[in-house]
Amino acid sequence: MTLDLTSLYQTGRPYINMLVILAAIMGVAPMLVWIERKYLAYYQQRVGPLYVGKFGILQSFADGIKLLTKEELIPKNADRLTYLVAPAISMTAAFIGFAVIPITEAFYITDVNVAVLLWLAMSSLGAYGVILAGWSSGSKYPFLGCLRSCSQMISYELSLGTSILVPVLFAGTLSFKGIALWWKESPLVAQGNWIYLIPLVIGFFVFLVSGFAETNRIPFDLPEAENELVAGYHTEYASMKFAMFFLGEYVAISAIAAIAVTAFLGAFNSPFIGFAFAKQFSLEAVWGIWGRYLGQLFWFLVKWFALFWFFIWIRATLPRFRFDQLQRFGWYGLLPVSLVNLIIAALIVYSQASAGMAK
Amino acid sequence: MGADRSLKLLSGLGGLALVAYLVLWAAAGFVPERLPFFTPVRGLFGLLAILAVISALAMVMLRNPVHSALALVANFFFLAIIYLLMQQVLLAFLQVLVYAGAIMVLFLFVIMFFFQPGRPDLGSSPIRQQTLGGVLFALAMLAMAMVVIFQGASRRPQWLSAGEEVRSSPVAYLFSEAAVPRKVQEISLTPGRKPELQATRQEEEQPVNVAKAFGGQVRAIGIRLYTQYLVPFELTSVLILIAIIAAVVMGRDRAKKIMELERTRQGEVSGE
Repeated sequence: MTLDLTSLYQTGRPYINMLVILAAIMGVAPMLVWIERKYLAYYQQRVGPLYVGKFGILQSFADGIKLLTKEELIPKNADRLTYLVAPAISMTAAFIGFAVIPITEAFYITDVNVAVLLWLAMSSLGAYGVILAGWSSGSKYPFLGCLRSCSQMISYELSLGTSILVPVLFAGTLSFKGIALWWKESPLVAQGNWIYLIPLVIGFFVFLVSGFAETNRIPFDLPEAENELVAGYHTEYASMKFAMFFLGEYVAISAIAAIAVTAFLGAFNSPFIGFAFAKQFSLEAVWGIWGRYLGQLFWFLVKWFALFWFFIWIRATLPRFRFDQLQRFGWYGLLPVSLVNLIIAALIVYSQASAGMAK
Repeated sequence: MGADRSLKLLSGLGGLALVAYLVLWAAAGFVPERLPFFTPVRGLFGLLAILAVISALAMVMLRNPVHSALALVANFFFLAIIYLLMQQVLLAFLQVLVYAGAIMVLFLFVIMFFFQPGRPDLGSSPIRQQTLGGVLFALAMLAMAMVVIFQGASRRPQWLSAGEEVRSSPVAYLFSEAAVPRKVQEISLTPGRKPELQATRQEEEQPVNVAKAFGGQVRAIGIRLYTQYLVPFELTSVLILIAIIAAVVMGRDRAKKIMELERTRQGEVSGE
């Protein structure tokens, strides 16, 4: 019996992709931390990490080693099992989001047609990590942090889910790969039908703001507001368990950015896809199918990094919300806007479909 | 503590059952002709069923309400994976999204206030004749499940098109011969809708094209919901709307009082 490598690769591909993406995220997350610290330093006219490696590039790895070798501490009042499980939930839920994101046309882990639901479910499970961490620590500040996080996530999940329905409605599929492929033939690109842009832009705004809230980033980082709650829900966490929260946060940001790219920024397609010269200069013309995949990888990474940089920019720029402001903004601001936006999108789809039928 | 001892006994028995089952399942992998019932899908189902039962019992028997809530979340998860085994993808993810992701978070939010770790618990206050009622209710549920299982075997769900022989009831499907992995392309869940996006796919030769098979599920359920079952669907939404309005009305009185209190307090502070 000879080993059939092609068929082996076909069956094993999701698993290979899984390992590759997991390794890539684990490797990139410390670099993201470094990039964020450098950028923040730049915005605040500091130097940032400097001594470990050239430009302090290995600072995060040094921090990681430090956290790994620190002593494990479990507070006396803690609810042990829950206390230990919480960081794992937080990190796992963040990672699972990547299972459904198509990085190129051929490079993704899985393509289920309920991908959007899967990702929403997983991001809502991320709340459990924070909530359980705050509760099980058995002290006041983490508990306050977890209560804040709980109500914040419940409020902003709604607008997150409603805003992502706009591209779902346009593409007519709940699969992220379907949405990514839709961009190429979308009326926006293929016919230059600009009316589709209106709900997409509004939806993108709502999605990003809710994404900030979901990942507990500034200006919505009330669960860990350091001048009120010490460090919020992870006050009592040290060593590797803290590192897991930290890593989970960056993975969650990466996942939100990747999903925003897929749903609102044209996924892995080149932004020049509608123009004639794009065909001439594309890598596909030079290297065939692999050139196309390479181009898609390039554009995905560029868009994704631009969004990640935007997250840092916002962190360096905006002050923190007050809690009542946050709730009011979510319920009176974002939710109605995203609902009306969804209705507009539905009307556009309906009118365009009926116009197509009349022809 | 009677409850604690029975909990220990239960977890021991559950663990033993789990280990015995895993051994059986592994044995079935080596000698499939001796243990023909243990196909991979059924084996996984059995494992998940044991875990679901254990988590459900833990939910009832654990003393700490937060732990109970977490056991319930775990139970939702195992059930969701069982739904996946029955190829009900949409149901599985809705289960996780709605119950585990939204409702249980709200439950926890309330429960957490009253039960802090490291404090003595408030003690239980069992309702009288709880056990009897529980047993009766469980028997009724069992009877209902039996009806569904045995009747479902002769009936097919309406969203499946003709030509599907065994896939009639999800439960019956699991115990039928068809529960062996097979090409899902045969399922035609989307009658009358041309698959635009699927035409552009690169890898048609993939053995099980999950998205293709279950894209129809969302669509088919949606179409049924908005045509055949429109009236009950809309009635349900009206019911939910009424509940929301009631909650707002009930909450507003208290909110007003609290706001007035705040205002008078602030007035006192600024008046000084």
